[in-house]
Amino acid sequence: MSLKIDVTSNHASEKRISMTGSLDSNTAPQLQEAINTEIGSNVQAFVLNFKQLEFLSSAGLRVIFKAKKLMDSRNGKFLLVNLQPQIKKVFDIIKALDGMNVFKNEEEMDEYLTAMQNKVLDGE
Amino acid sequence: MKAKNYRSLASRLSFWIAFLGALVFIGVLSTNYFLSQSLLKSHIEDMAESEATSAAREVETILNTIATNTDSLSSIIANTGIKGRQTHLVIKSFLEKNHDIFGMAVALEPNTLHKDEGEFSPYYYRKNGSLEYADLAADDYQYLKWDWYTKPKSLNQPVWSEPYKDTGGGNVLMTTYSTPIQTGPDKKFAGVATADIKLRQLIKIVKKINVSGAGLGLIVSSNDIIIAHPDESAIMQPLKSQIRGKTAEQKWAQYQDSKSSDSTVYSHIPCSYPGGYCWIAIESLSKTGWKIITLVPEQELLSKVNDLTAKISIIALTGLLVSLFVVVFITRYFTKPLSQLARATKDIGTGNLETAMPKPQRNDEIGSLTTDFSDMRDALKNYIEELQESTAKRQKLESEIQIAKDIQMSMVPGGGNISVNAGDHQLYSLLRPARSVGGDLYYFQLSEDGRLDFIIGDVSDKGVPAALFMAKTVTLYTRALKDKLSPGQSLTMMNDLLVENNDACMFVTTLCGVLDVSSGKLVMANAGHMYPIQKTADSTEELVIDGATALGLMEGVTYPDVSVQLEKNTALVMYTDGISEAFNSSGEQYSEERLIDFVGHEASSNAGHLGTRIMSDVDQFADVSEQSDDITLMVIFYGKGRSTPISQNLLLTSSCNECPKLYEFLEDFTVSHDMSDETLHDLKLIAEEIIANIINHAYNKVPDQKIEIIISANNRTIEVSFIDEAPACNPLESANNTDEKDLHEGGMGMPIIKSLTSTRKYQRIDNRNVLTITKHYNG
Repeated sequence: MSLKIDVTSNHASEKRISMTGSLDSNTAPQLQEAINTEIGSNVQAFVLNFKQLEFLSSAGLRVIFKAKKLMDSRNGKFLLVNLQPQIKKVFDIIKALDGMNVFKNEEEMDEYLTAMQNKVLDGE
Repeated sequence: MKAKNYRSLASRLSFWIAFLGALVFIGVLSTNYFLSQSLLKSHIEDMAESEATSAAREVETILNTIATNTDSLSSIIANTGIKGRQTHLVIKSFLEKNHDIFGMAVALEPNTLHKDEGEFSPYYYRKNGSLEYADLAADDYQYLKWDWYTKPKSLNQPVWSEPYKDTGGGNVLMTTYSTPIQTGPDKKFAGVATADIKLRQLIKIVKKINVSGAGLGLIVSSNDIIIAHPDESAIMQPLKSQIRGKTAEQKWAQYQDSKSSDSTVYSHIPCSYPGGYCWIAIESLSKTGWKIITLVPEQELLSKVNDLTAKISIIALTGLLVSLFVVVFITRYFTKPLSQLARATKDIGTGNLETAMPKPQRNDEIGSLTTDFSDMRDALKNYIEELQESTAKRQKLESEIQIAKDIQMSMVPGGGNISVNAGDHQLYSLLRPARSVGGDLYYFQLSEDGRLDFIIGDVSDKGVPAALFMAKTVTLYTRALKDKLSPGQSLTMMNDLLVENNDACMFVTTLCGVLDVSSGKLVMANAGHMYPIQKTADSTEELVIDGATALGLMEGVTYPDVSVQLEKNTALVMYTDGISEAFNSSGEQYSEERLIDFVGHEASSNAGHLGTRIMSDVDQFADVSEQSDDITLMVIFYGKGRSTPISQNLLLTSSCNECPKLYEFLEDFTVSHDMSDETLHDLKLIAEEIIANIINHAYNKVPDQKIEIIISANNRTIEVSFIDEAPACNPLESANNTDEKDLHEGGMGMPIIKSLTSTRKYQRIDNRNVLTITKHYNG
């Protein structure tokens, strides 16, 4: 099974990557490459959508953690959305969801992002 | 490639033609120069001589006339007895008749001819067209003392005087002929008669001397004084002013001594003319002792030759330049198509086949070459286009064939190479098409109730048509399995369906069977296929299964079931003719006998082991010979022990690309055991993590290393063994100390494995790492 990656962007500072298929040691380099290309220095919010992802192994987890580290280093937002049960199970095994921004669905996440945006605007 | 010293054909040709032309020109010119010089030299002597001689004649004629007239005057004076006034008349009459004579005089010895007469000397000369008179007996002249009078008197013979400037009346340069007047029988001297000739008269003659347009003439007196010369300033000068140097003096003395009256020519005499050397021709005048000299400066003469040579050079050089220009033009004209062709060819060489080729302009070698090149370019263009087209077609076909191959291989269990263990029983099967796709087939199904259905077949023909027929056959067999038909019933049903619409008259030979692994009861049916080889502890021989003709040939054929009770530890070898008819390079067949013999001598009856041994023996036999037919081999080993658990294995190489194959294998396994999707997901995750660990750590990412997976299920427990041939590496140990959130490779794998499995066991067996995990599952 292969991995398909779709990239969308609502603002220049926001990138959303949707994955379909299997994220394992075979396909992890593909995601790594996509992240390297898409997370430019101006990206402040990065979203990984797991809605279509059927399989995740530790090789994939490593790429995800690397991306989180990168966003953390620039005080950006790193968001996970639509974690399916079998995917959530893998995160749970290594207790990796602590301290992660996880959303059940896109509506919930959009709400959060809008709120954050307003907060920033109010602060200014 | 550009030549180092590129020079056009035109310039080379022009250069060589010009070079040869110049050589010829120089040769002709120098030959001409030397020839004309020597010709001129030989002629110059004759010319100078003849000029001198003819001038001498002319001078002599004049002198003779003067001498004759004077002699006549003398004779008249001596013999007629005229005197006084009459003498005047006689002189005048002579002058009137002879225009060559400038002046004449009579000078008498006092009181000799006429006793009563003293000094008497009337003189008449020309002045402004009329005759003038002068009395030479006048006191201021004293004619008795002058040479013209004394010399003939003392010698008593005619004398030519040296040139002198007369003061008597003419006041001009002249020379005088004096002849004595003799009277009486004793020829007594009685005076002289004289005639003067102006030197100007002689100058006229020498001025005419000309040797081939060069040189000059001069007259010298007997005392070597110049009396005539075209340049009047030279007159009265000594000859030395013209000819000088030792050589000249010697030659002159030599000439004087010879007293020659003939003309004589000397060459290369030093002279006072440009170049310093002259030819000289000398002619003596007999009576006067004068000499006519023709003098030709060598330089003047050679300069004429040089002038000629220069003129010829200019003409030849002009001709050479014109011909060079013409040659350059002509070669340019002829080689222009060649240079155009060269440029176009170079362009073609760089791959530009659209280059415009020059049009052939003339029907010659270059023209036909140009046509040939155009043809070649067109042929090349067509060829490349065809090649591109056919390559594209072939690539398309190849990719289609590759897909077809994948599809075909996915139709047989294990993708064409599989080992299955069911307790002590095993099955090994291999399918290797001769081309990308082929017509051989095998299929089997191991049911949990211990029933092993299997089929092996060989479609007539090879390649794509055979592959399509093979697909149909396999599909029909899976349908027979669903209907749980016996082997004979299966073949009968398949035959009926294959015969329908089989216009191509293709057929397939098959062996079909079902083995009850718990009892060893084997039921088989044969459709024209070779008998299986049965290897027991005691013997190896063909197991005769009588059947009917191949499937697809005849309608309504019934295939009987043949029942055989297998002894324990029996191996059954089934094959297609790709094995028995494998050829070696000498054209020999592998043969059934050799196969039976080989199987009989093999110690092991383990299906996987026996199967791989047979294949390697066949490959060794065929060596470099190409595989001529599809090969299929199926080995079933009926052991003695329990039939469960049923295990399946998969061989992978140490590459991440193998993931899809692994997932497919696990999916097949879970589906055949009615396991849940969650169990499949967990198994995939476990296997992925362990194999990633083996590739990254045990094999250290070295590719193409073996990884074997053996999976079995029994009593709601799945057991999976991961076997690799890397150096000892226990993943369970190395993982214990790892921080769970460590991002380093392998750090997260082990917690996942631990949380998803029930037990984990690492063993080092036969230099192999064996990691065995178990996991419970619910239906």
